[in-house]
Amino acid sequence: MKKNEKYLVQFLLKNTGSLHQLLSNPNIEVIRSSLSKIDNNNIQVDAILSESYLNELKPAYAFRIKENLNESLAESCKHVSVNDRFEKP
Amino acid sequence: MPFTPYLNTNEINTLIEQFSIDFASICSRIILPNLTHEGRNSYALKLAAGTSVHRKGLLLLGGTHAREWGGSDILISLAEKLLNAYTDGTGITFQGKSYSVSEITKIMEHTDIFIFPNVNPDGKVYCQGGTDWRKNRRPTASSVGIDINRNYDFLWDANNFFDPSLSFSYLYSESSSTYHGSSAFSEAETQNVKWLVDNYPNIAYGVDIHSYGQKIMYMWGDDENQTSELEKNFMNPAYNASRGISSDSYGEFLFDKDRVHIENTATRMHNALFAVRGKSYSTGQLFHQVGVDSGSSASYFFSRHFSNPSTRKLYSYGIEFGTTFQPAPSEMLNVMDDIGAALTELCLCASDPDLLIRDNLSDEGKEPSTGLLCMSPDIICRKTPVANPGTAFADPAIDPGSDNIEIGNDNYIYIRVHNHGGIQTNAQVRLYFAPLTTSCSPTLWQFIDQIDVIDIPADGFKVSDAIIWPHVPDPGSTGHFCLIAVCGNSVDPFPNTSMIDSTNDYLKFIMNSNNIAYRNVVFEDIVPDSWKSIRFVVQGFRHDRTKINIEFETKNLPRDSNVKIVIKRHLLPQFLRLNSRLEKLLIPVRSFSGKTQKFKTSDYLKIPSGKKLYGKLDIKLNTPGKQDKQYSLAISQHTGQLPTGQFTLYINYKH
Ligand SMILES: [Zn+2]
Repeated sequence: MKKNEKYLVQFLLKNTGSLHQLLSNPNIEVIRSSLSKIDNNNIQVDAILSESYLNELKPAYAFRIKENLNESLAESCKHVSVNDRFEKP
Repeated sequence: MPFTPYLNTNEINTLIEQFSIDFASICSRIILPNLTHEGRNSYALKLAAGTSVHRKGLLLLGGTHAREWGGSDILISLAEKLLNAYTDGTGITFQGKSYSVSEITKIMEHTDIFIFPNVNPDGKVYCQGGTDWRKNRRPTASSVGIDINRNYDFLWDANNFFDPSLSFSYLYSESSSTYHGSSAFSEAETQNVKWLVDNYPNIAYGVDIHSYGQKIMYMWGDDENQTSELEKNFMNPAYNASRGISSDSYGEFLFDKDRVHIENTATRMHNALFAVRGKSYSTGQLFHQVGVDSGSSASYFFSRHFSNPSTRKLYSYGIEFGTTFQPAPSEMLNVMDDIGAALTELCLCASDPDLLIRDNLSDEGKEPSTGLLCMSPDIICRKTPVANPGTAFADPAIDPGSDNIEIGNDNYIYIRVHNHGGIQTNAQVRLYFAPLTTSCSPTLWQFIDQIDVIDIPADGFKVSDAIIWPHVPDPGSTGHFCLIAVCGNSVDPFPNTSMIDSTNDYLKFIMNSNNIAYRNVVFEDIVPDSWKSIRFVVQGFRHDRTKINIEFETKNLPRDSNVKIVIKRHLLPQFLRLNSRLEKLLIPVRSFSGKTQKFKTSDYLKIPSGKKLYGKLDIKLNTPGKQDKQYSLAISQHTGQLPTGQFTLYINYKH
């Protein structure tokens, strides 16, 4: 069975009310450190959600998919050694 | 051994051990007391060289969140650079930003750098195994993992501390990636961090490194910072429904000097980082940059000295590096330079000159201070000039004592100014006098003179030249003075006294200002079996509603002496004014030789709002006293459990 894909998406929100709405949605992990306010009516924030929720959110929010998190993590893992690269003292 | 990102947990542990062996004289490994859920040990490094005594600690945290791998790489790389540079006598270059040999020496010899690079090893192992993850790996009833950076004890139970319009369901749901746990400090990982700050009380700066967002953040995180209303603070339940909303009447309090310091240091970190390769991290308060904060390390660190004044003030920062959780290795190497420079800059800030005039011989300059403020061994008054004050007052472990201020004559006052930083500095000292008082508030201060003190050595002190107070005038009503010395320079400015509106404000202020010291010493010749009166001032602030207590410490009086305090009716509470004509509280002194004996007026004296009132202390010594013995009596004012001020009366027994 295919793993449920996780996506990193960037939301464009119109006010802090919709940010709070996102924050209180248990199916969305809002990455608050990515928060940037372009102005009071344009807030950008990234969030992680599973594939199944992407379609559900489409009518309510403006967002774009930044990356497939499983794929990008798999890429990063290539740069982690399975062994200890250093000799134990 | 330079490495390429990313380090795994075994590699981090190996390098920590290797550093502590290769650089054993300047680097040690700390094994943290709590094993993680999966049974892993956690390790930290302590970098410290040289023999300087007064050094501030920095605690640098990485790897709190499982998927934010690079925090560990940044810190291990920084440790390696600092250790190599100091050992080889070189500087450090982070692309466009360089630190000189002398700067590295200053950092290594005047600070203790505590590096805890992999706070959440279970999480890192799991995530580097290929599953995206943020929390630790401890199972809960219905899910797995607790968000370590929501598990600290700062407004942890968010539902009870913030405006009810804010929802915190994401903290309370076990399946949420920001689940805050079953209680504050429920997790081994947060307990390990707490253990470090509890066990190394010199830690004065804390940084928690995360990804991503290109941000440098500082406290507070629960609301906007404000510097004028002390009662608006995270501990005051009256505001439990007000926190977390911007532009309303609630803001989280900090002293203005701390606001200035935290903003200046954050700006320096920003500028150092920018110089590396032109990345401009957005710099500001946590609350503005990421929104309401509950249970994070940064707010917890800075909250500690408010909730427990015996702990040191710990300035705190959060860094969000990069633009993705795991930047590609080539970019991560650049990020290691970016953040390496910012952290090196903060270490430099921590070794900046730090001025101090001590309150007592054991005062190490910790803010907040909790001891008595009236007996500074660094304010020395003499009736005649001292030929060589630098030699005469050369031993800081000795209080040279102080002569009484002589009315009508010239008096010579010497100040010892200490520098707990890593570089020699200059300072200005301003000297004030006030009438004898139980709480020496700035409204009573009158300027005498100021003097420059040049070349105060790093980790040392210097004695000022004499400040001459010519033809000292008769102080009138009280007959005695106290002296106040305040110091400052551009790095460690003079404290701002303008926000003090009440005795409680004043108490917090003096605790948070190690640049101020007092000497309240009074000498009197007293003939036994006759009454002697000493007048003193009780001063209230504009917004005072405070009740105070005046205490006498009588252990150094001959047995069966008598002390009484006479105070104005205004100070007495209504029930005493109505029920009796009591204007005097007579406190008899009995013999309790060798034992501390305290008498209190109890906590019902009303401090006069915005007024200066006089109190009178009447003393009668009993005849069996010894003529050659110096007796003393300490009179202190208390607000709640804490002393607001004190003076000591030294009595020469005259037959
Ligand atoms: Zn994080």
